[in-house]
Order: sequence, then structure tokens, then C-alpha cells
Amino acid sequence: MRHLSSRSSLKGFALVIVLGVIVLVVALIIGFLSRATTERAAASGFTASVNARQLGDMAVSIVQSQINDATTQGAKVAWTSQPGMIRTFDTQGKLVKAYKLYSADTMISSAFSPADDLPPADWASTPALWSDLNAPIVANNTKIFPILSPEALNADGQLGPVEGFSINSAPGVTSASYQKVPMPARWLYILKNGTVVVPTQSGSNVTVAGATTANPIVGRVAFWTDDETCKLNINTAGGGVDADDTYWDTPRAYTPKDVNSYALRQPVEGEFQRYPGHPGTVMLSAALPGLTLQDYMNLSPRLAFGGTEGATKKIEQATSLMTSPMKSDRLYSSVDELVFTPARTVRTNTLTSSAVEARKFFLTAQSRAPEINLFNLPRVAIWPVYDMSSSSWTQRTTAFDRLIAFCSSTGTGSKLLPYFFQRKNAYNPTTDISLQRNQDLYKYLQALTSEQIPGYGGKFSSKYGDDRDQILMEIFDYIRCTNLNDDNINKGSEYPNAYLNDQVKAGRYPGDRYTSGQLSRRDPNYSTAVPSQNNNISSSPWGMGRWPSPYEFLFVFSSCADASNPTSNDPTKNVMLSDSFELPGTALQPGEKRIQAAFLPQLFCVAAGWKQMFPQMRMYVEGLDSLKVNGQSLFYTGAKSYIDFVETPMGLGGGSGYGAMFIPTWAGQLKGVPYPTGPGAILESKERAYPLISHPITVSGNNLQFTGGKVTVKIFALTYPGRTETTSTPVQTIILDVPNGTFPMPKLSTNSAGWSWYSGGYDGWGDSNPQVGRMHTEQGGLTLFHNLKQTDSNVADVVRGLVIRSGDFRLTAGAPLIDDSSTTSPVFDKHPDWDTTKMVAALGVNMGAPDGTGTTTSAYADGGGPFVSGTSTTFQAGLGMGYPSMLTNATSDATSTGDFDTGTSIFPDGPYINKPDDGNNQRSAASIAVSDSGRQIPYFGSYNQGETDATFFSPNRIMPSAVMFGSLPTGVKARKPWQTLLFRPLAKAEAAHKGADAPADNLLLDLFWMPVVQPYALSDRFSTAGKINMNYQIMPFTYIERSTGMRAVLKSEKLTAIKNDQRDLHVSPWQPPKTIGTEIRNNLDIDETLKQFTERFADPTLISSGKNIFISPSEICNLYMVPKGQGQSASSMAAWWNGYRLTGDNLREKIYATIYPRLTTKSNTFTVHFRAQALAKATGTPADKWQEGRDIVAGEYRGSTTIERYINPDANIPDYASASSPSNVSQTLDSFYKWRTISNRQFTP
Amino acid sequence: MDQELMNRRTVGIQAFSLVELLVVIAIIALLMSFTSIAITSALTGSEMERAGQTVADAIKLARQEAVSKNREVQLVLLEMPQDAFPKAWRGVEIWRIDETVNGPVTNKVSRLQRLPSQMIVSSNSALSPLLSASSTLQGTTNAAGLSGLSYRAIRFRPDGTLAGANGTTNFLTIQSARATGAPPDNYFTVSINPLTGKVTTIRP
Repeated sequence: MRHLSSRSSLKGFALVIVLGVIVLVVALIIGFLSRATTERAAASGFTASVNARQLGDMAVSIVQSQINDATTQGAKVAWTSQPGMIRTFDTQGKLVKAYKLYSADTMISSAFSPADDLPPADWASTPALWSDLNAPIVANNTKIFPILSPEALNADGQLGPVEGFSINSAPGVTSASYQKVPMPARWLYILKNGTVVVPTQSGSNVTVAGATTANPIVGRVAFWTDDETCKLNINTAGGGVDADDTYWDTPRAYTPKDVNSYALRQPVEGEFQRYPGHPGTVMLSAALPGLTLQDYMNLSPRLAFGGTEGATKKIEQATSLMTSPMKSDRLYSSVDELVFTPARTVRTNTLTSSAVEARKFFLTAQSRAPEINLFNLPRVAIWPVYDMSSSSWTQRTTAFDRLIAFCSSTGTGSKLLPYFFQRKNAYNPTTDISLQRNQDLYKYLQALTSEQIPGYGGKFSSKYGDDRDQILMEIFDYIRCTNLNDDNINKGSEYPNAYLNDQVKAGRYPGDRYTSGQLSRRDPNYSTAVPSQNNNISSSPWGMGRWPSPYEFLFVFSSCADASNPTSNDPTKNVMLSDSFELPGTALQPGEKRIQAAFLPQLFCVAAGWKQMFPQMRMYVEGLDSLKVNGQSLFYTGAKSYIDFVETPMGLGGGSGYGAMFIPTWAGQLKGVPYPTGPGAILESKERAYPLISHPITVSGNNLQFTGGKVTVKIFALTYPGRTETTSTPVQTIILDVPNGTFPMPKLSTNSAGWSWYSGGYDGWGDSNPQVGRMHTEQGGLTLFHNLKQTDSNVADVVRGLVIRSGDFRLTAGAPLIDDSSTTSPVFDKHPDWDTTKMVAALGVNMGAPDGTGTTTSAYADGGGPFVSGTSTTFQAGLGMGYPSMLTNATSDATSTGDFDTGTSIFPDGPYINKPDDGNNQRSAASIAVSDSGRQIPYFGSYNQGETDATFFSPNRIMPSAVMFGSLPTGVKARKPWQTLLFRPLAKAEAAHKGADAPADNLLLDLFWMPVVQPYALSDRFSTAGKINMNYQIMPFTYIERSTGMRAVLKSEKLTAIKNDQRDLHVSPWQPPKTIGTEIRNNLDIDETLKQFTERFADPTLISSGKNIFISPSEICNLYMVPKGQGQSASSMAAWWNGYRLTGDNLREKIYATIYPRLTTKSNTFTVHFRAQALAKATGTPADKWQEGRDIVAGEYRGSTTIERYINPDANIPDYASASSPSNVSQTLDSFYKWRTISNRQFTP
Repeated sequence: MDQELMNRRTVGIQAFSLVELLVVIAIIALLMSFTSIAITSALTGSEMERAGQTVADAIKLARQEAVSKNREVQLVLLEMPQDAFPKAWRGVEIWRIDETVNGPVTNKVSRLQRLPSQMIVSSNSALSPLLSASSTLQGTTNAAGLSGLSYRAIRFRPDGTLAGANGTTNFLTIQSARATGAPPDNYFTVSINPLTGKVTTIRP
């Protein structure tokens, strides 16, 4: 028993041990499980977060596929983007589809119905359907918004409220609402198999069709896509406080303002914030108002505060102000970096992190717009590049040229396909256009202008007929003749010029500023190019070149001797009384008079401007021997003479005087015109001679019976110094049909120097250096006309001219052949007063006929009538308002369309083609002031006529955009004068303009682009950074207005408008600049201007057709820019312009030329804001239902992804230019876009 | 009988004598005295380990909750009494800040966890600077039937980072309520990488 008892106790102890072990094990297990549960919960959460993030990626993928789909519909479907949407349009201009870039119940719809996706007021009570993407998170007691903060409505320290931002009736928002800026988007539910389902029903319980237990709901996503081009790009934008800070324009008038702000304070190299039309002029101040110009420059990574420092400092000669410091700070990769300086220190007094946070909806570090046309094909660059096949290509091109070439080409190496025009020979009319690639591109443009334009409809070929080809050729030549002399090309090289080839040699005047071999404005053939002729197509169109072209042929009849005047009738002194030009001659009998005639072609260059041109040309004149007076031949049989026009600059300071722009009167080239060697002899055609003078003949009676005939004029370009003709065929041939006429008898000049054209004059026989006659001296002493004033009782000369009656010389400039020999409507027609008894009845225009005093002949010319006749206002053209003041037709025609150009600085208005300003930086004094004579002021002086400093001008200062083409004539073939490309809205009083007919001229702009290559490569392959999208309406959140980008563009601009009575714009530079009353440049009333946008966005009719949007940025040209402080609105502007019709077409379009290049309607860069949730069904809930609050939101991810489309340089893109039908290609350029992710940001305040 | 006596005697011989028993008892007592010291020490260490791990796990969970739910999530330490011990930071909760259309709402993600009876989070700012960091929220709340409990909320951002902290204010120290010294002889430190939210424990 004892033994038994002992064993029993042992057993009990074992139990205790076992229990103890069990307790211990359980404790361990519980501890382990406790940790495992926590770990599992954490792991589960991690899984959910990954799933949510993947769902966010799905949102980005959906957006990418939407964009891909929208932009690859072929060449007959145009697309345009805006925040939240891309719309496509067909060739009838009808909406094809609206691709939503936000989560919606219908992602692609064929109708535009914005109300469908506008969140309802009770969206917050239907959380299973709507999700506020902009729901804030409170951090540090501050609401942080993922997309848009209402704090942008408020000032922050130095900063004022963001301009152009407002919230109007946000759904469900009251003054007491916690969330003032909701951006609710629909939830899209995701099933396990990837199906995206739009839920039905509403409230907290929705049905998710297709969801089953086997294919459950695994997540949901809501998203909205912003268009980054609606924001200000902090890498490219700059500007100042407003336009007064940075605006610059070529001086247009000789006023203190133009001299002070524009001539003396023109932007220097690197002052990009003042380059007209440069993205650097987009003003950061729209989003960050309240800072100074220097602050904005400090914020910019590449724009510097320097140079003129916002037009506050004058550019002196050879001072440190000649360049602005070039910054090379690292570009911003995100807006957040704005709060730091480049030295990585926090900005102390300008921007706070809260201010940046509140403005992130308006700023971006990446925005890029495609440079494709409405056909989704490459735009053609408007910058000329030297022939790429040349072995000296690199020597003849600048780094800018080469970057532009890269940006506007596809492919690389042997597969490189340029979409820019090349040039090779300035002095051959056919060489450049015959380059194969130029031919391809010309045909490409022909093809595109022969097609219905996607988005609008209509064909340019139908609208303009043969003039379509002509317009394209004019555009080609306009581009070709831009930047004719590039000072950036290596100095001292054998190739001092980008283009002008070996016929132009530097150093003709080595004493000029450039002594290192660089080309000078005084080197022959400087800045000239003959017009191009395209003989490869049947319509044989031509360009304008930069070359003189006759606008008028004058016959001047002068009296050499009169029997009634004994002094003149002295045969021992007046050699003109001798047929053999020897003394003594034969005295006249009573009643007889001795007369002489001269043939004076007058030249004009429609490409007026800078730089000054220095043409070397030869003009043959044949057939003058057929002309007779009273039956006697004036010019001897066989007369075939030529005159060389060499070494005489045309333009400011040329031999013909200040007021005589491009009117060579041979001054400066004529050293002396000797007497002919005898009867029948003709003067030798040589340099500095003038053979187009008749022998004197004896007549009697009161009239001259003039017998006309056929006279042929041929113009050649010359080489230098060899002076050989550059081509075997003339650059221009004009066959005149000189009509008969009965003219008054000329009278003796009151000055005997005018009795002979020869330099020996009437009394210079035997003089070894005679300086008596009308052509007596070498430099500027010509007195071609005597006593010409019509009202002068002593009027002496009789002048008859064949003129272009319309006054629009652009119609004939560059025309290879003008044959008036067999037509009833000659181009060169007799002056309307040809058949009157007026002595002076022929000077069609009053320019360039110096009367010997250095002034123009405006007071002498016949007419001088009103330039613009309004219904209520008639005003007189002022000095220099020569074109086309004389001819009634001309004035009325020019008035009716307004298609004349305002001259620059002191130059008269006229039929110019708005040549780009290649630059003028001449100064002849170390220190210049506005009170100085104009000759010492850039753009106004003559001393160094139009020189620029090397590197002072560069492509993006010279050529802002294709709107510069706006003065090219569109009626050349149709012989319709004063009709140019229309890139502006009309004044009320102006007649209907063909340019406004469908398709509107402005759509031509969409075919071209200007790459931006400074201060860094803002442009890439067919894209440009920093452009602003005109379509700033936000879909579907139309209650949020963000016009900040457009305001940033517009606030840098000024509208130039010249009142009808401001006629003294172009006064002589020898006088101080003249104050002309009201300033001609006006800041813009941006609110009023943008009403045209908001009205368009809200127009019910346009909304119903889906066209309440801008399809092409060129539509900006249809909108009025409303001047500030004038009490005007957009609707009143047409009438307002009636009072400003002295404003030339070039000035009226100038503002569009610099706004347009900064605008886009398509974006390459988008930011997808999304909220994604990983979901799990709660036990017991139906598989196809989602019950908010009961089912489980396992994970959520909020954030944004910025994505960008780009073209891979190596992409194997077909050659659209050589395609037989570019609009039928299977793959447009858009098809080759790839995506890159710029940034991924989780919303984690 | 003799055999039986013999057997009895043998049994009697086999039993312990009193002395033997006393010696054994003394030895056992001695051993037990040694063991109890070790056991007490082991129990305390175990509690500290549990307490430290509880806090570290809660931190991890809070961080993960913040990341997965894309919300700010707070690790809340409550100042609570425990038996005879005075109030100390010994309660742990996780709060999630949910955003609603009417503003942020705080939801509790986990139930209250108490640290083992003797364990607390040191209130010494040198040992637990995170408790008094500027980014750490302070207030009072109700829990476990108690009202007016002070709390400190350590905030995790939706990206899992620790709000406001830096490399010198990012840790808590768990110690025995009875322990003295700063630092005491035995403690458990939980450190949070402010940039990544990663938790590191240190136990000397």
C-alpha cells in the first residue's frame, strides 16, 4: 500500500508538470500568434496598398489608351485637348468623338454633353458613385489639397491672389462647406479579371454588373487628367510684372517712346524675356503676382536679370550691357523646388512653401505641346537652314540652325527627313526651290492645302486657285530670305554668311565695324536674294525675294534750250544745241525748243526693313529707239543699254535720302554722265554711267506728240567683284507697252544746271571734271527733277509714268515676266493723268524723288490725297505716307482691306511684306540720348546703317511665328491688290475679306512652326515646351476657371493702334522725335479679351455641336485684343478699329505674331490625378453589390502621375513629304508617339 | 518474522534521516532563493520584451495602415493607471484620420492594448523624446471606461513616414514603472526612422 501510495503521488506530480508545460506552450503559442496577427495585418495592409497602387496605374493606363485612341485616327481627324478631355473632328468640322480623360460612365462619346459628367449637388451622399479627388488632408492643422487649393484665391505674404482663378457654384458647396473646391469623379469598379465596370444605382449601395463570387470586386478607381499646357511652365516662363516691364517691338514711329523704350533699350543677347513671342515672355506674375522683375528672373533657371533690366537701362556702345548673363541652373523637375534657390537654400522673402503649395494647380515644371498640324502630320519649320548636302554645312550654319534642323526632322543619319526649307544660292531664282527636299516639302504643302481641313473643312486650293501655289511660293521665299546675313556665323571665315555664298565677300570696306573678315552691311550683295521661281509646276509661282523690283517707269521731258531765252539759246555755251555735242552748236529759230528725255525706272523692295540691303544688279533696257516725239526718235536706233546698280545701299541712309526707302536714283553710283561722242552714239554701259538719256531734239509748238512702243526691261543679279550676271536668264523681265500721248511742252528750268542731264551741263563742255548737269556728281547731288511742284508757276519738267495703278507693288515684285505688250489691262499702265495737260502727271508715288535738297518730294508730287478715307474721318497722310497716296484706286483699295504695312521707324507706310527684323544695333556715339539726332539711334540712324553686333540677334528674336507671313499678297495671280493673308479680325468699316472666307487664312498657320532653341532646347522633335493651351476650360469641372496661362501670355503684350489723325509717325530723323499724342501701344484689357474665350466655352449652340473649343491655336487671330483703359469690349472692337485705320496690317497682326507661337490646342504632357482603392467584400454581402461602409476598403492610394508623349528620334517614320497623298497615309506622326513617365507622386501631405 | 523484520529494517534504512531532510530542504531553499531571483528577473525581462514588442508592432501596424489606407494614422499612447501604480503611458491604440466631406474624422483601428502591468513608456523626455516632439499631438480621450485620459499621438503620413520627427527625436523607451535612473538598468528602446518609418528595437 505504501508503495502504491508513493506511485500515486508521483503521478500527480507528472500531471502538474504536464499542465505546467501545457500552460507554457499555450503562452508561447498565444504570444506567437499575437505577433503573427499583427504581422499578418501589416502584410495584408501592404498587399492592399500594392493593389491600390496598381489600380492607380490602371487609371494612368486608361488615360494613355484614351489619348492614344484619340490622336491616331488618321490624317483626316483633327484632335484638340483640354483639361479632362480630347475631342476629335472630321473634315467637315463636325465632332467625331469626345474622349474623356476622367472616370465617367461613358469614356468615349460621340456627342459632347458636359452636363452628364458634372457632379450633382448631392454627390457627397453617394459615396459609392462619386469620389472627391481633391479631398484635402489636414496636416499640421492645415488643409492640404492634392490638386487645387482654394488658398490660391488669397494673398500669401508678398504674393497676391492667382490671376484668372475662380470657383463658381461648385456642386454641393455652400459658404459653410468644409470642402470648397470638390472635384468629384465617378468611381469605376474593377473586377478580379480586370473588367472595369460603371456602377449603377446610387447612394451607398450600388450594383456592379458582372461581379460574382468567382470574379469579385477587387477595387475601384476615380481619376481626372489635367493638361499641363494650361499651366505656367516654371522652366520656360519668365516675364515681368506686366508688359511695361518687358515688352519690345521694332520701333514703328519716330516718337520718344519708340526711341527710348524700343530703339535705345532693345533686348540684348540673352534677354529672352523681351524677345517677341518667346516662351520667356510668358509671365509668371499671372500665378505669382506681387514680385518684381528681378524676383521673377531669380526664380527662372535660365532667364537672367540683366541687359536692359526691363528696359530701364539704355544700351550703350561697347558696354557690359550688351549681353545678359547666361544662366545654366538646373531645370526644375517639380514645382516644389521653387521654394529653393539654386544653391539649395530656402528662398527667404519671395516664395513660401505654403504659397507654392497653393499655386501648384497653376504651375508646372513640364509642359510640352506637339508641333503637328491639323492633319496630325509634321509642321514645317519657318527657319531657313543651309543646304544640308553641302560639305561646308557646319561652317555655314549656327548651333541654332542645327538644333532647329534636328527639331524639325524625323529619323536620323541617312533616314533623316527634314521638314524645313533649305537654301543654297541667293542669286539664282531656281536653285533653292529646285532642291529635291524643298520640292518635296512644297508638294507636301500643296497636298495639304488641297485637302479638306480636319476640324474646319474647306480647301485652300479651291479658295485661291492658282494663288494657292503662289502663296506657298511666297511663303517659301519669305522663309528663304529671312536671316540673310547671320552675324553668328564664324567670323573671319571664308563663309562669313550663312547663305549669300561666295559671291559675297567680306571686307569691301574694311574700315567698318567688322574688321575681322565678317561681312559688313557695306559689302556688295549684303542681305539680298533674288526672288525664287518655281518652274517645276504649271502655275509657275514665284516669291518676292529680297530684291528691287520696278514699280514705276518715268519719262522725264526737260527743256535744254528755248529760243525765247537768249541765255539758253547761246550756241557758244549750250552744248545741248549741238547734235555732235561740240561747241558751237546751232541756235534755235524763234518758236523752237530743244528738249531731252530720260527714262527712269524706279525700284522698290517689298521686303523693307533691316538689315540694310546692298543689291548688285543690272538692268537692260531694249526698245527705247521706238519711242518718238513729234516723229523724231528720242533714243537712237539699236539702243540697247544696261545700267548697273552696284555699291549703292538701298534703304535707310541710301543714296536717295532718308525719306527714300528703296528708291535708287543712282545717286552714289554715277560719277558723271559724259556727253555722247556724237550723233547717234549711245553712252557706254558701265559702272557709274547712265545711258538711258535721249539725245536732244528740236521741237516746236505747245505740245509734244509722243509715240510709244514696246520697251523691254530685263533685270539680272551680278556677282561681286566680277560683276558677271549670275544667271543666263533674267531675274525679271518686263515688257512695256508704252502708249502714245500728247504732253505739254516742258519749260526751261529756272536753274541752268537743269538744262542738261549730262554732267557737263549746258556750259561744261571741255571741263575735265564737269559738275553741272542733272547727273553731275558722285554722291547725292543729283537734281533729277526741276521745278516739279505742280502748283509752281515755274513748273518746268513734264513727267509721264507707267505705274502700277493699284499701288500694291507686291503683285509684281519678283514676277519673272510681266508682259504688257499684248493685253488690254497692262500691269504697268499709264498714269491716270497721262493724257492731261498737267506738267507733272505721272509720279505715281511720291517717294524717292529727291529734289536736290535732301527731302522727299511729297510736296511736289501730284496728289497727296487722303490715304485712308473713312465714312466720317478723312486724314492726310503725313510725311512719308507715300504708299499709295497718289492714286485714288490705291487709297480706296488699301482702305477697304487695311492690307498695307506701317513702315518701321522713319520709313513710310507701304505695300511691304513684313520682313522679319534681322536686327539693327547701330550706334555712332558712345553715349546716345533721345535728344540726339536720329542718325545715332538704332533703327533711326544712317551712320552704320543697320549693322548688328554678332550674336545680338538670333533666330528666336528674329522670327516669332508664321503670323509674320500676314502681309504676303494672296491676289497676285488674280491681280487683286491690297489683299494679303488675313491673320487678324477686321474693322467694321473694312470690306469683307477673302482671307476670312472658308477655310480662313489663319488655318495656314497651323502648317508651320518655329522651333525655340534659346536659352536651351525648349523645342524637341516636333514639340515645344512652355506653350499655353487656349482650351483652358476644365472638363467636367466647368465651375473652376483657370485662365491663368492665357493671362500670362496676354499680359506681356501691347496692342499697337495708330489713330487716323496720327499721321506724323515717320518724321525725318534729322529732327528730334515727335510726340504724337496718344501712345500707340496699349496694354491689354485681359478680362475683356478673355470674354471671347468664356463666351465660346459657354455658347449653347457650340456646346451642342461640341465645338465650344479651339481646334487650332491659329484661331487666336480671329479674336479681338481689347486695349486697356479705352472702355472697349470685344464686341465693340470692330467699330473701335474704324478710328485706327492708319494702323498697317503688319502692326495689327503683330500682336498675333507674338501671341500665337506661345499657344497651343494640343498637349503632350498630362497629369493623371487618381484615387484608387483595393476592395474586399464583407462576409454576407451580395457579390454584385458594393455596400459602402459594410464592404471593406482594404487599401487606398491617392496620387498623380505625369506622363508625356514624345517621338523617338530613331523612330522609323515614313516620309510624308514625298508621299503621293499625305492625308491618306496609314500612320500619321501621332502614331509614332511613345510615352514616358515624368513623375509619380503619392499624395502624402 | 526475521525476514519481515529484515525487510522493515531495510525500509527503515532507506528513509531519509531528519538531518538529511533538513540538509536537502536547506539546499532546496538555497537553490530556490537563487532561482526566484532569476525568475523574477526573467519575468520582468519578459514583460519588457512583451511591452517593447507591443509598442513596436503597433508602430508597424500604424505605419502600414497609413500606407495602405492612404491616410494619416496615429499611434496613440494613453496615460493610464494600473493597479497600485500611478498613471503612466501604458495604453496603446491606433487611430486613423479619415477624410470626409465635412472634414477629418478619427476612427480607432485597433482596440486598446495595455502594456504588461509594470511596464510603461518612459515619460522622461530624454528617453522618449517622441512623446514630446512638436509633431506629436496631445490631448485627452476616453478609453477602457476611463475618461479624461491624456494621450500622445505619434503621426504617420500616408507614405509611411513619421511626421515631423527628425533623427534625434524619433524614439521611445519602455521601462519598468519601478525602475529608476535615466536610463534605468533595464530598458527597451523603439526607434523609428523618420524617413522610412522603419522600426528598430534596441535592448541593452
